[in-house]
Amino acid sequence: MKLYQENHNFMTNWLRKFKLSNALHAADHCESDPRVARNPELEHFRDDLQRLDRELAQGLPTVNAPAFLHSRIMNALTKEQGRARSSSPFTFSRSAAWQCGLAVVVAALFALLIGRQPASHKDSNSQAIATLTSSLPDSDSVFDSVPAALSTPLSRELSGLDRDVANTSQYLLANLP
Amino acid sequence: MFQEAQSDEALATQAQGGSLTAFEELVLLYEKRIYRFVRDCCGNDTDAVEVTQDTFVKAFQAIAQFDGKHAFAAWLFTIARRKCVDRYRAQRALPDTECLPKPAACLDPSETLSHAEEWQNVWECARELLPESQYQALWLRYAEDMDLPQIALVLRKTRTHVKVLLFRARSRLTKEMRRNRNEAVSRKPQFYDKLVAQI
Repeated sequence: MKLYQENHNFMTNWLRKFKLSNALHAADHCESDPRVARNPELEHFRDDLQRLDRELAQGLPTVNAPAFLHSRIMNALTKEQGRARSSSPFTFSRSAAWQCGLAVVVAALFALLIGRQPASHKDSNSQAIATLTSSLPDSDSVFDSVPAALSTPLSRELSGLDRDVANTSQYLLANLP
Repeated sequence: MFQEAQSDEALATQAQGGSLTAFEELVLLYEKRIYRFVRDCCGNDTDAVEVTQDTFVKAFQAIAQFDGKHAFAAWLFTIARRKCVDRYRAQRALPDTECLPKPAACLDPSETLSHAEEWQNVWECARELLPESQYQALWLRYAEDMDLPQIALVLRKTRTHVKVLLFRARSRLTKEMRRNRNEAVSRKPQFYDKLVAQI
């Protein structure tokens, strides 16, 4: 029980000290907190904290920068500016690059969408193709228009092919079980 | 006739448009502050000058990425801190600035007390005793007068973590102050005894 009480006191004191430290960031310091006034440890801590706060604010060390610092920085910046101009005359800003990339992606998606059209679109396309092919000349009429010297050997080959197919079919039918 | 002083953010916006003159104004405003900040991290003047220069060159390169919603000071100090860490890593003197204690923190109490006598003010004491992150949080709070969100931005930590860092730093320093005070009180009679004996 005693150990628990000690731990409890330690934790509550820690939290109150933490609050006292945080109160330094706020405009109003928690001087009016009665719990702090009742506890001598917290009261001492608060006094030390306020003294430390004053010393930290007033006792800032003076570090003198070298006199050549500014000229050195500006020389480096001038070189950097010249290097940036000479190395990349067509520099894109980051947002412009993003916009270009986005436009390419949108175009690719659009092309993909057109490639995968629904069935109604396909029907309309097939009608268009039928209209186009109807205007083409018929194959028989094309064949009739070919001279006899060219068409005779071809028709002879075709009749021979027909005969072979007919013989093969008769042979296969005869051999059926 | 008399040109009004422009805010840092307005100058940064002009610098984003490519004005080196506006950026030079920012350099004039911040070069000493950045130098003071990195001087403690680097430990010597030569490195501090180089890190300060690198910080401004990096800021100039990345000025297009500066978001006007945040304070320019916090953005610039963030770069400076990163440059300090980069330098540490490059030199491999300190692999991780967050974890390693200061050499003085390892000293025994008697040695610490003898050091304490040499400390001219509380900042030297802080430099010797506190870890890097706690010291930087204190410095940004008191020397740069930054608020908690800005310190959190520079140190890349949450606000609560910054509060804890400041609290630990203050607790450590108040303890040290108390110890020094007690030591001074206990030494006074010895000092006078010695003085009387000498006389």
